[in-house]
Amino acid sequence: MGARILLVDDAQFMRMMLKNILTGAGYEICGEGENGVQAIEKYKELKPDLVVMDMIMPEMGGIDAVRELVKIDPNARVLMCSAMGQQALVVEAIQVGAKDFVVKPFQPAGVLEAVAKALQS
Amino acid sequence: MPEEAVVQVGMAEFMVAVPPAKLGCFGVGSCICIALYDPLAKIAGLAHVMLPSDQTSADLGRSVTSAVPALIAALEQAGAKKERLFARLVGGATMFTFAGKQEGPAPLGERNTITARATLTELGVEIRAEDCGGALGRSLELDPVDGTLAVWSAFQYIRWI
Amino acid sequence: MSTRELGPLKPLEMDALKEVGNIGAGHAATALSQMLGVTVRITVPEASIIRVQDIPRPLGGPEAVVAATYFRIFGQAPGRMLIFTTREVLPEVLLLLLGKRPRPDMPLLPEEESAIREMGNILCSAYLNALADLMGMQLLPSVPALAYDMVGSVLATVLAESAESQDKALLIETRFVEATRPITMYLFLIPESGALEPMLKSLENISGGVKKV
Repeated sequence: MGARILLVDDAQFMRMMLKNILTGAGYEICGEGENGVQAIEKYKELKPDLVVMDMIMPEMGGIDAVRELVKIDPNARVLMCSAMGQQALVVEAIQVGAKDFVVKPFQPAGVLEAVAKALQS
Repeated sequence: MPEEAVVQVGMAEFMVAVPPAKLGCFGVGSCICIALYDPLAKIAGLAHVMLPSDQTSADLGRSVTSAVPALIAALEQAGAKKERLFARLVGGATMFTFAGKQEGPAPLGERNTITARATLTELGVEIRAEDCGGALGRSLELDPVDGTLAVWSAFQYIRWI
Repeated sequence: MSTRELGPLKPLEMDALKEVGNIGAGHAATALSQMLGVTVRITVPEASIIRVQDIPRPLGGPEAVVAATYFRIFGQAPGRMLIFTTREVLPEVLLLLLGKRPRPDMPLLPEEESAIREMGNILCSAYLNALADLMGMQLLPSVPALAYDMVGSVLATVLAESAESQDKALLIETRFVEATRPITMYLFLIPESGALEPMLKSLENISGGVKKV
């Protein structure tokens, strides 16, 4: 039984792509969210092993959501997955508690490697 | 569409026409197009306006509050009578909507439409028809022969208002 | 000082802004190549200052239908970005993104809209990432907004929004082209007039360290 992953991205297209890559590698997608608010709700409800989280989303963005998630569960594992690869943003995401950062567009191998690493942490 | 047969009224412009000339605006988004017509004199005027009001620009055609009086004056100069004029409004769309909470002022297209209604009412010009708002780009053509105003969109049939 | 005033810019400054377009679009092209799995090249960027009412006239006139994504840009160099592709090219793009062609002459399906939004998002982000790193500042895009409509309506609306604060606008345009397929995408970066000073200053700092030959 693979680890349970919550996908949070406002783009349905991106969730679909990630889902294909991750389920293909044996992971279970236990839930999906479209923004930071849903990420927090679903996290409380589903207690996933890992959250894969976009950064720029309506309602609440990814960095604020990570900040809240870590307050709720200091052991929360979040992997940021965003097109915003600017140095300052990557640093900020890691500082607020994300385990790692994948820049879109990505290769499936890159995502799987980052997911495996984040799950081990 | 017979785009080449008509005089194109560009953004921030206003023009007056008598037959056989026609006036048109093509690919209108948030701008508001104000069509005025004197059916007795067969004189038409069309303004293609970008903003509700603009205190700093000397360009009369840019904003509703300056373009409407200027267009009426131009129509009168061409022989139209203000009391015979009636108005139709086209445009004022919101082409782009961002997901999530909206802060700040209402979309520009809505503000343009509201200001156009208020300005015309204040000047005593009756508004007979509107094809405004929504997330819809529009084109229009105004024929001074009979005042026909045709409106069309990318995925919709032509309609007359 | 009024922020309405824009330009004229010196040739060297225009050149620097074109280079900004070149670097941003270069990174965006790399991202697009990866996303579509094809080789994407860029044209030489064009930078021009226009009156906001003089909208550019690309392609087949103002009524040509395009799929456009639009972003507001926040940070030290705020502005707007518009990315679009024509209706004729769209089937090719969607085939690469989703593995299937759209039905002809129908409104876009939700999954097609999502794919176009995300493609715009990745292009815009890659462009801004490169600029932010180059200029040493942080630039954040909004979520994407989408329109599938007349190109004139789309461009006019974006320029009218900037007309609320300025009479003239700087347009940095780049095109993305694919060698073997009829794919062309248009990208317009429209910095707010207040963004030019920090942009030019940071570029000066960079080029100041390089000896001119």
